[in-house]
Amino acid sequence: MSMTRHLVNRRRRLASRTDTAPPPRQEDPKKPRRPEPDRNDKKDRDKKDRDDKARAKAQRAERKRERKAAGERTGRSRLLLPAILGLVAVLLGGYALWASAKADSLKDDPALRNTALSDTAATSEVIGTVSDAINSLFSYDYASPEDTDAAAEEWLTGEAVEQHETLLAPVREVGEEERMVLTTTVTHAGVEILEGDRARLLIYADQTSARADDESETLHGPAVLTVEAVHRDGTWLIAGIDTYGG
Amino acid sequence: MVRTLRKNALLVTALLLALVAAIGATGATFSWYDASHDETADFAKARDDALAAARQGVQNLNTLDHADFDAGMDLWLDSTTGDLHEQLEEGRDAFAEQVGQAESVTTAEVVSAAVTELDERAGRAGVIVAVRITVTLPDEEPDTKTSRMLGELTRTSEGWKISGLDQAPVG
Repeated sequence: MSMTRHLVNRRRRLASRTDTAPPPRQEDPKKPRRPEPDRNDKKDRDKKDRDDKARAKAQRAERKRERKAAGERTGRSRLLLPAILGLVAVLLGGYALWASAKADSLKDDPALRNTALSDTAATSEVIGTVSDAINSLFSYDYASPEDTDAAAEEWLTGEAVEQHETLLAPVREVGEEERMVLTTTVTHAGVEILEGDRARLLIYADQTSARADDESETLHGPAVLTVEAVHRDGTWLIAGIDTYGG
Repeated sequence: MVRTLRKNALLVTALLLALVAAIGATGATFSWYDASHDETADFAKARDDALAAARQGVQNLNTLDHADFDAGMDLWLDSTTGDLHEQLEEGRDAFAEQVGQAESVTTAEVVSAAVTELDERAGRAGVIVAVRITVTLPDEEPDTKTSRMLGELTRTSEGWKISGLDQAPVG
């Protein structure tokens, strides 16, 4: 082993230590890359290795501490976003429940269930049908009393059958004998309630009773009645009549 | 890896919950808006308000105690507007004398009422009100009869008030 070679190798090692650049290429490819180091050189290297190890260990510990701190930070921020979203969900959900309860209470308003007047077609239909029914139910002609019975058959249901019978009994009793003609004409009608297939109407009617044998016996009278009507089989029927004792 | 998944699952769940809540809130808002801007609902409310005012007004206008004329008359004036209001105001003194002499006590009970016409925009309504009126005169039995009233209402800043009231004609 020549002295020159030793020096060259040493210089090369020193150069590689001071700067991290890769060692310069070997000029002669036949020469071994790493020549055997001498004893002094090895001592130096051992010390350096120990230093390196200690430094690396300290660095590792430092990095570990940093990672740990960073981990805690990201862990907290990872929980923060779901927490905010959860809070938003709770608030929006609460609002949604409140708003839909508001909407439901508005839609469920009894004023809305009652379509009197607001449903113009149904309102005029029930007024027209009930007025016709009242006109024929409370009209009587001694010459054809069966017309009144037919009207009762056609328009009445439930309690109204008996109520009508009671109301017309005095007329039927003396009708034929006195040759009576009773005419009822609805003059005003208003729908108080119209809810689906049931309705309540207030009706004003004029009644005229005349005797065929005596014109001086003609009487005019005002009538007030409240009628409960039900819609059945495509038409309105009268289910209740209140004449307020009139 | 498991920890990451769990954290992501939490985030995704929270996100989904927030999304579902947002959709629900949007739907409920639309529903609420629709319900509160429903013209039929406004009409129905106006109808019921007018009917309630008509019932109360007709009862007020058929209630008067000669011993407490001023309070009764103030209520009459408070229930009316327009021409009817002016007529009542003008005739107040003459009427006071009349009631004072008769010593009459009149009470009323509305038995049935319905709105027959309603122009919500114009603020006018037509009503029919059947009212049982009892008149008590000194040394006489109370006399009760059912009256068939036709009323007209006008909407004022203080709500619906009676602007016209008559008995339905007979014959």
